[in-house]
Amino acid sequence: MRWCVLGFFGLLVLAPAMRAEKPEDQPNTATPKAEYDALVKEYQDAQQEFFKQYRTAKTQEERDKLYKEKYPNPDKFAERFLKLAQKYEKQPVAADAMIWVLENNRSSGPDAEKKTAKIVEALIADHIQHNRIGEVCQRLVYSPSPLAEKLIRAVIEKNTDRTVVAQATFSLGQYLKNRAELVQQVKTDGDRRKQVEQFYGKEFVEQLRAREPAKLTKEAEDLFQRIIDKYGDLKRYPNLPGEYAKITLAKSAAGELFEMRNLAIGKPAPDVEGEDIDGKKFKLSEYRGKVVVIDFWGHW
Amino acid sequence: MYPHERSLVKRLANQPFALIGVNSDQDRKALKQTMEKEHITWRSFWDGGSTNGPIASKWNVHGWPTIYVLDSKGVIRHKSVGGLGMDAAVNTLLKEMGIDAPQAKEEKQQPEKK
Repeated sequence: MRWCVLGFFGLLVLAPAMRAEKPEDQPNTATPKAEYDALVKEYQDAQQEFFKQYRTAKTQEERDKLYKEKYPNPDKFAERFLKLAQKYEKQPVAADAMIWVLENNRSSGPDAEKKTAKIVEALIADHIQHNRIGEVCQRLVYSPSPLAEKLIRAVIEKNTDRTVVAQATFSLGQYLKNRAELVQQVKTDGDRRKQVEQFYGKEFVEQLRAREPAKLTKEAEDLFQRIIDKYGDLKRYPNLPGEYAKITLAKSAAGELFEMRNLAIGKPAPDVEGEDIDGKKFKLSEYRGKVVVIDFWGHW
Repeated sequence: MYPHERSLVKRLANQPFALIGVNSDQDRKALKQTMEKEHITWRSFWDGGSTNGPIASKWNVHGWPTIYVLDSKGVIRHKSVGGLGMDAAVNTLLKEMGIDAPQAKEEKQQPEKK
């Protein structure tokens, strides 16, 4: 079974591919953009080469050795991207370089958080109108960092492009919805709290505990309602193929609202009526009286 | 995922428990063959042949697998993308009904038979 988390990983995978198809505005190799592209290509080539060799390696020993010597560590590349960002500070390419770092970051903890903080500050200060800032907001929806919220709010406040503001508004709704769930868990489930504490530290857990899930939920609902009222005509996944390209923000926001209001823990599950694989009709409610696992699955 | 679900269904075969799938495959015939081959014995809703079917859309499902666990009254008690915590949630809910279900054995790392 393959994993498919659309809207987050979906965009993550597709976005670079879409960009790669765009014709080069400036074929001149001496531009900052060319320098950035060359670095991206160097990373991609190194990655491809590594996987090619990895697939043909015969023993575990060979694979371990390969991993040690040839794996293109994104954290090492991140340093070079950040240098590029410094060199061309305030130019759009600096934002591209910093976005690469955000997207490819593999580490967590206080040091990684400090680096992220610097990037977020720079994006807010100099690149709030950048054409990919909406994508960045979408990517931060599941981020544990409070900086994610800061950036998304800044984009909503200061960006002047309607589609970007819509994307950021949707992202903030999702971020707050996720955050409300996490705050609730940390307040009521001791095991979960320990787990989060181990991962992100005591201070982070205290910050979470200071927030009110009901308030977060209310704001998220208001944001999704604002999407329906003001941005409903826009597309949710303009870069995805097929059926997904047709989904409007209004439909997606309505889905989020339905989930928050009717599919939260503690709510009675809505009944499901349909037919099974053999075409026989049945209802979820026929299983009342039993503990039921509903499993959304596919063999694709 | 199938081995995990298979063992859950087997372990709780005589308990007040049901695993209900919502399937998003495109081809019903191919799916039936897969189910036979993989010994998928539990019942599934056919969701119109896509990951964007009526049930998944209504339930706002964007990640696969997504699971919901309902208690005997039909109340949502646990949900997760990826299926984490499914066994523990089911055991807790059975216990609420006064049932000590047989425990899950340690997950063995066994390669799946092709």
